[in-house]
Amino acid sequence: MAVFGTWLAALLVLCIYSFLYKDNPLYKFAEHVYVGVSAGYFVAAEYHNVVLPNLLTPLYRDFAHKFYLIIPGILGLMIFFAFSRKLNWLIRFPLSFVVGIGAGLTVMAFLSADVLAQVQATAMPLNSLNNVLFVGGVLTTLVYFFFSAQHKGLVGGTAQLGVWYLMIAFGAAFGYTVMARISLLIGQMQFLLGNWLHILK
Amino acid sequence: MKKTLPLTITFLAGFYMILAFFVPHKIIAASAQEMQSWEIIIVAFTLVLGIGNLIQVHADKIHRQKSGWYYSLVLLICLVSMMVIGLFWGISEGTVYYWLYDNVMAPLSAAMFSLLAFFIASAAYRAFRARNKEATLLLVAATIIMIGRIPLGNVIWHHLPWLGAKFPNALEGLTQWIMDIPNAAGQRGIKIGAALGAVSMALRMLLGIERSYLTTGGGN
Amino acid sequence: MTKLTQLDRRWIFLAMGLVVAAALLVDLKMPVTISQDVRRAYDLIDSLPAGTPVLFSWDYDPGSMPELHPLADAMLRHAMRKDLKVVMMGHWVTGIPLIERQIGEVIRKDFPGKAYGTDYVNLGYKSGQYVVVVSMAQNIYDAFPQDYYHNRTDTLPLMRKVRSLKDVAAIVSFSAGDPGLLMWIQFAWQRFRIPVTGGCTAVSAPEFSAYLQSNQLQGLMGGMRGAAEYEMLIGRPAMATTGMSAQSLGHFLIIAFIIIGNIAYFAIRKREEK
Repeated sequence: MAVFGTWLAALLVLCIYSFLYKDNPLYKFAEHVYVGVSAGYFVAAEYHNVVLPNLLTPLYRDFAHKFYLIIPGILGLMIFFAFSRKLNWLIRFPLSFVVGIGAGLTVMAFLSADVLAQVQATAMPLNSLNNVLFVGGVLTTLVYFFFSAQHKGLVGGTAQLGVWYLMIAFGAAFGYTVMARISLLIGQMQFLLGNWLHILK
Repeated sequence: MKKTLPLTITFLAGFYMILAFFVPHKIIAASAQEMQSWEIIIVAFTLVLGIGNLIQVHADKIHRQKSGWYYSLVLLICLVSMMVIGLFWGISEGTVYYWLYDNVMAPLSAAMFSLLAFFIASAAYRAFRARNKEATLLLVAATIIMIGRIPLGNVIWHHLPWLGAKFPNALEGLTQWIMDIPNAAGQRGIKIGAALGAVSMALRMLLGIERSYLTTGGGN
Repeated sequence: MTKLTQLDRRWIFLAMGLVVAAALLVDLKMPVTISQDVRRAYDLIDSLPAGTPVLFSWDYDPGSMPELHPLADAMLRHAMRKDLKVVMMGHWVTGIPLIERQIGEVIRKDFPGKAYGTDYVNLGYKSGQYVVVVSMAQNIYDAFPQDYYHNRTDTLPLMRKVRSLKDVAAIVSFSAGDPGLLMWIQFAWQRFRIPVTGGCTAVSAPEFSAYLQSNQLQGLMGGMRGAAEYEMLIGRPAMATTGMSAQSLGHFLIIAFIIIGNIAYFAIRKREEK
């Protein structure tokens, strides 16, 4: 069964790779298998990981103490009103609850982790060239993102410096993106040449 | 009822989370915790919503016999089989579901993503040009990172006449410096800007100014 | 020169595939040096006394496996050797079976003495992303009433010690994006001061520099290269290390493409200016 699985996987990988030559029925077939299997996977995974342990089992085992879980259960089922033309507005109730909780938690998290903590860490003594360059980089980048003032004169010059910092950051990002993409190909080659064809040491 | 009640729910639920952040009282913490547990359950249902749309679109394609309808049939057969197998026979190791994940879904997903290696090579060849000062800066930084972060880059550096012997760690040092100083500073600028944007967006939602999520289901 | 710019991209694809395959077949052994960010992550795990609970979060799916699977392998191995107690979970629904695969490859194969429920637990997945994190920090049993195998969480010996997220000494996230490392920093470290470390795909590595500098993140492995460094640190070179020669040649090929592309571009521009 394991050998059959490896062969099946390898053939499907080759179907996907056939796209590199040109779009063709084999690729389209593999692509649709992928989307279908993933969607089916998703439903069963959500059921076994969330709906069953967090909703159905507690209700079944201990209804007397957990009866209030009927509320999120009903709110959850209300999502399916999305498919009704007349009653689809009912979906707003579960969504508004989800959005509210998410937004409430996001406000505090972003303010404290990405604004306060990041500003605090930038407040460093300017006693070395690196520190000066770092603080200068953060400030000039922020000036660039400040669109309420026209980027002319001193503001324009500072913003231009910010652009250079951003370009270096984007350059680093590009370099790392190349690294990531090649790693993914290496992984596939290790599978094809190693697990499937057994020609890797 | 259709608009005010959902907006009120958003406002109350959101500000209760903020209240729980500042007031660590037992009752508030416990009730906030319960609301979070509910959210975990409701989100699971919302995630499955997309699957319903997928089924609708492809069933329609088959029904109308649109071009390539047989691919949609393949998709639906795979969807239903995987779902039924998972729902009724379980998902952990040793099940058919796990086997299909391991030998069909995972390799397909990995292969799809690995196509990007080929496309980035083509993009590097066709689009990555030193057209101006900014683009040159980007290109130089990217090249230093690409060479500095791989073992072969350092092996070659160490074999360079004079430079390699005199400054053996210069390439690695420069790579790390780019990451720690100009890159980290630029990233921090982006982070602070993006976070302020995210916070203002979240506050707009809580206060009912941003209502686009209410358009799901009828619009307003 | 115009011909050069109009080269059929399939030749580029072929060159890329051949270079990576050839490099893997030849496998030149090259020394991997350890960067400070990886050392920092290693030191955090290494400094924990035996018996300490830690949380490992598999926040990726098969699409990013070549980068993060070797890393998770190396770190899980390190944790097992140090006799740490590992609570496992994941935020990416499409990656949950990868936890089981890694349990098989690392724990059952090389640490058969470790017992489920006492030495490690697989909690599986929950929808809700950061809501799950905040909820776990109050009471883990609420978010995870059962483990992945439908055992009641509060009946597992390890989980009786780990009642909330605050009971783990560190959080290790293997992150392919959002939800992942960033979310753990924003919600677990920032709000509850639980040290966070881990690895990410190389694509997202640069953005974490800002958090490393501010000490909100305790070390980081960026992509397959980061995993290769960790493999070196635990003295067990594996998949990531063997990938390094292919990684190296792949980078040089891309740089060659950039150079050729630019030469053609400038030559054409010069001709047009004339």
